Amino acid sequence: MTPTELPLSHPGRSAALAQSSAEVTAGEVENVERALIDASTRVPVLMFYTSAIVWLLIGTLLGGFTSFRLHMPDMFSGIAFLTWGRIRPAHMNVMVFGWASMVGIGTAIWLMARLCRTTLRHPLLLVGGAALWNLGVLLGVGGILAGGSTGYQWLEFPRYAAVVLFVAYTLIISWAFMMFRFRRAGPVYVTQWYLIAAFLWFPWLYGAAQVMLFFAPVQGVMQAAVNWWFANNLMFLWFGSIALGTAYYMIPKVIGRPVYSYHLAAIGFWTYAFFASWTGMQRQVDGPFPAWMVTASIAALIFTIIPVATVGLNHHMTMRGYFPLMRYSPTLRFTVFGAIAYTVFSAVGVLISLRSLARYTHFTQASIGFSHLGLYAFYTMVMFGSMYYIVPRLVGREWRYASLIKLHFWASTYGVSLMILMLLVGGLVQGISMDNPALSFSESTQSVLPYLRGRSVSGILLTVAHFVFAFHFGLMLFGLGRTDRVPTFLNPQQEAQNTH
Amino acid sequence: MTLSELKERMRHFQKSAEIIFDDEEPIGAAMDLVMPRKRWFRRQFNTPAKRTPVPQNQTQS
Repeated sequence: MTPTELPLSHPGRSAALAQSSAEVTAGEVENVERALIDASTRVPVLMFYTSAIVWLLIGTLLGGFTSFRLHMPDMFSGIAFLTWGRIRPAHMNVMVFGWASMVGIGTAIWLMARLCRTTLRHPLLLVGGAALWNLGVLLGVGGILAGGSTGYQWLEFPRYAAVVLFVAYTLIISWAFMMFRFRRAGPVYVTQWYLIAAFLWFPWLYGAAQVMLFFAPVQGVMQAAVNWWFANNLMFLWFGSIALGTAYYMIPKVIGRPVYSYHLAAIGFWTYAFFASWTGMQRQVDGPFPAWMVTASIAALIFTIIPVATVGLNHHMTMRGYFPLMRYSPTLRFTVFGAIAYTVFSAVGVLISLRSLARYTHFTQASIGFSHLGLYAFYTMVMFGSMYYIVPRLVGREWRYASLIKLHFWASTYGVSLMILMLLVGGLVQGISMDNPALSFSESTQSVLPYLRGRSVSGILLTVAHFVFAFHFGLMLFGLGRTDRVPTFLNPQQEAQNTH
Repeated sequence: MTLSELKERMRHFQKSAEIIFDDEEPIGAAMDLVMPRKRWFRRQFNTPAKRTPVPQNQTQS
């Protein structure tokens, strides 16, 4: 199938509409409304996006450094703040709170405004929230690099930084509910379900973890239980919800076809909400916990196959017959890749949590591979797709270079695929080596070295992808995008120049 | 509730999937097909596509 076979909206349509004055008026009203809504979200969304991209670049460099240190441990070994125990948590927290959370909130703002069909009220509230959030991340990363890490996975920020983040989040969430409260009457779309749920789940997760670990700490191994419940559910309930909600908007919108089954969407949402929040303890297989705790999480994770299957089926049936459009739409290719990765992420999560396999993959690189599968292949790719859709509508220009979009996509795709492959296979090899009593521990760590080098190569690809994207985004931000009145990259004059 | 009422409710629920579309961005109109086809050996393709619809008051001169 080529785009010529698809029922595209073409310029002639406007002329046809012009024949009916009543229709023109309705269309004009919708256009003006849309313009006002987009204009009202422009400053806060671009602020969140710009901040997110800056943190993405910092996190990428920290991640690359972390990766190289695994097989080149003597590199900068004399500098305290560059030791592995500091740069790894700095990398993770920059990615989680700097990049992923900020880009997700930016996308959520735009989607909520569009779906509530109301202009953003009090945008300064959000600008203030974004500034405070940046301050919180900056303080947190500074604290970690200065040696003030708390030692809890994804909660390494010192307490003072966490307080700033929570205040910032309060400003942001107050906006979200104000927007929802003043929405135009009508059905609430599935994307809004996921976004509103995510905005409620985040303070629950973050607040409960902070209280139970720092303000009124639980004792002993329960700290590990709380920590893994938080880390796992931050992935599922916060990032996962935002990404799924975004995919439910972007895929139908780009191909011009409603979601295949709204009933499946409802089943997927409620089963996701019910089962995902029980997960987390599967990361503690064979730990000093009552067996039922771990088993309950494993069972819940297996039950998440229900929402995965319904969401996957819904997206697949919506896209059926439209897959070739991925060649022409940057939004679609990133979003569909992310949606497929969601299925793989869930399947791998179930597999490595089963006791028989966890015996080998536990405490190995496979866990890190699983995190990258969720946070990058699924979440980040969907977010890239949403940015390719939203940014042109905010700045009023088109993306300038198709070649840069392609480079970004393929470098990200090959980079993250190679990284996940290296980490999962390397983790399994590492686990089998550790399980072999004939091998010493140092020999088991040697067995994973080739895979760690492969991971560093994949990190280089991702670094290229991120800097290319940041450069392209910068062009848009500084007004250097295309402003032609003809379709982007299909300017006949430009095409002719390129051809001859 | 009768079976016909249930079917009507389900049909009505399914209609909610269409609320993201309107007259300017209707069902059946693909959007954002902004990537050109590959031009191996400098071949030219006629590839119609839909521009990202930028609201009128944001259109740059």
